[in-house]
Amino acid sequence: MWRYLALVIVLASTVTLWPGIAARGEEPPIDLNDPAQVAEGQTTFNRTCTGYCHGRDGLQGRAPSLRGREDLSSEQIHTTISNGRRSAGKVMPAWKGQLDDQKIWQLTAFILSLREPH
Amino acid sequence: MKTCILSTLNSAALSLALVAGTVSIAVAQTDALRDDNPNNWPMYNRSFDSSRYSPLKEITKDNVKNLHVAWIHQPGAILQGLLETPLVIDGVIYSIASYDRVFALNAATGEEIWHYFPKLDDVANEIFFAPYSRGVAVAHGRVYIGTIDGRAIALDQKTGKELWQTKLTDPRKCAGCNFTSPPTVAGNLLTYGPTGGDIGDQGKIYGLDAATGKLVWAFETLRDDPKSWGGDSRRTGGGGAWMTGAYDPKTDTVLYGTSNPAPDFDWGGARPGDNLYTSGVVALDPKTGKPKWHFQEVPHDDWDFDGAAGEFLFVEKDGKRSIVHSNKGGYVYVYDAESGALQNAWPLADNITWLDGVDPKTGELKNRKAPKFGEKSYACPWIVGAKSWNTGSYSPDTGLWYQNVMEVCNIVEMDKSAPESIPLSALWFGGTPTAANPPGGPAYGHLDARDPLTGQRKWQIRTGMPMMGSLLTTASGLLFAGDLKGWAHAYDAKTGEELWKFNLGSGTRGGPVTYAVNGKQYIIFPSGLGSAAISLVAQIWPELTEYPAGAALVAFTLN
Repeated sequence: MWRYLALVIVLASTVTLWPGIAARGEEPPIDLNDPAQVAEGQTTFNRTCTGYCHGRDGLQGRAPSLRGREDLSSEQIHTTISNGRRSAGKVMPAWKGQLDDQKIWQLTAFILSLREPH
Repeated sequence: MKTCILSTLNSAALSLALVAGTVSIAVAQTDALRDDNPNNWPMYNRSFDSSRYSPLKEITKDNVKNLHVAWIHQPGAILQGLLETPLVIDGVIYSIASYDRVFALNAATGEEIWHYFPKLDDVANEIFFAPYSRGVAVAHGRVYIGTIDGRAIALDQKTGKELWQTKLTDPRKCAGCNFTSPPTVAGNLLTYGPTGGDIGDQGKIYGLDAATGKLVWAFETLRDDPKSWGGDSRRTGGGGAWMTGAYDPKTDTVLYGTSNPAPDFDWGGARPGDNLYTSGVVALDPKTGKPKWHFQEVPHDDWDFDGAAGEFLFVEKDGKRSIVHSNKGGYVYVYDAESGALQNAWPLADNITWLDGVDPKTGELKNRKAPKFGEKSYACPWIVGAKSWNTGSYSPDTGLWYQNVMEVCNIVEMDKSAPESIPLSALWFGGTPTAANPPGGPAYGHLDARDPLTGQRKWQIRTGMPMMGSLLTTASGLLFAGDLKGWAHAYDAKTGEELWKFNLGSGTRGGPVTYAVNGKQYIIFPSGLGSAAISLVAQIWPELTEYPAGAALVAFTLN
């Protein structure tokens, strides 16, 4: 019984100490390097995200530039697009519920591709 | 003989009754809203002529340098800054901030008398044209607002208690259409113009009974005519009239500048026809919503040059009244105030490349150069316009019209897309504009002093980043303007010489006002950077990306 309890305690603490384990275990449903997916993301980006916000192909607007952003991981990009962002006087809407998750991953792939100089 | 006397008496009685009826209607209209108290700022542009000119003279060119801060009011919501022009009536300020937070403040101390924070539908967090408001309207003992979730609301002027509300639009059903500007008081009617133009809706202008909030009429800004809207394009043709209208008591007419059609950029066949009544002016009978006259400044607009960004300045010269209205495309149109007949069209911007010119007698666009699908199309001015929605000011003392003008262009690349594919938080442009310099050199701004009827320029102040706040002139010869960095300025209205400046801390996109209470004159600057347009400004002036947002009414006075 004690061995069983110990096993439960170890497993429970594994999950609580590394809360991201279950989430991080998820792989994006698309290949983020696939040029076809990047192209889809670019189309969605230039249709949805530019105008008065991000600028064509991630050029600066009131939002900072998305070009050459080595500091943004795929998870951070996906989460920000999904949940939106508030930052002292500026807001980005949450796009989950408006764009399906595949489109959000395609946008992620496109923004990752902007790390390379255009 | 008897019959003659009786019929004469009857005619006289009828005439008397008609005169009395007319007088009582006129009295009701003037009681509803008046612009003849020099201490007040009772409506968005201060007076029915939209001049933003005050007769107050205590603050002069000599003592303006002695202005000090009297008080500051902070509404507590800074998202998209503070874009309003506050109203001041009989010592009380009526102010509106983000999330449609309404305040009544003591004009001498800035202390709150009451506030009203509407419970907004969650949709307000999703749609694009939010959460800002440019102002309220006050008349009939009520404060009227248009909300970002599509409602018209009336509050008791003394207590702020809600008296009625009417749902005019459902933003979820009209691609996010809502209200971001004050309604217009037209006698006992109240008119509302919604956002639209860059979204696939079918914009209307609404007329409400001011006492009850009941909808009396709705005018379709998209004319129901297949010649104007080919195929299915009218269903998602945009339109609307997103800035406050102008009521002319002399002709009992309400004027609106109409939004552009959707999609902004026509990739070819998106909306065949002239797309009436978009990108122009409509003059409506406020009792019925029927158009008295209209003029389409940009038929089949291919550049997002809506009429909504232009105010309606009424100017009288040699006994003749004219209406002066700027279109975002860079031309200013002069109309006869009685008939609406076009009198003149003159260029406000130095760089206008989307056509060769406008015929000043007919308004005909000469050799228009529409962007082409598959090309990078360069056009000046940019979609933000030669002048944005910030209002200018006209001084009857100098005879000059002051305006903040922008010399910025854009490169447009079109994308074909169905309106159903556009999420609620996005706009349906049909392409992307990227800000660009004009042909001659770097982009710049200029504050012009011009004759409003001829366009002749008397002087200009050139800046790098343009100023985009509304302007204010006073009878002591002062011109007040705020810039996007946060500086409030006072200039000599005759010469443009700077006489005073003050660092507000966050940029001015709204309108400074002046008023007097207890015999003392105050100037209020709304400080708080925001609005959609500044995102494109940042493409030319990237330092703006880091400029702070904020929201504060800063009041100045002399000792």
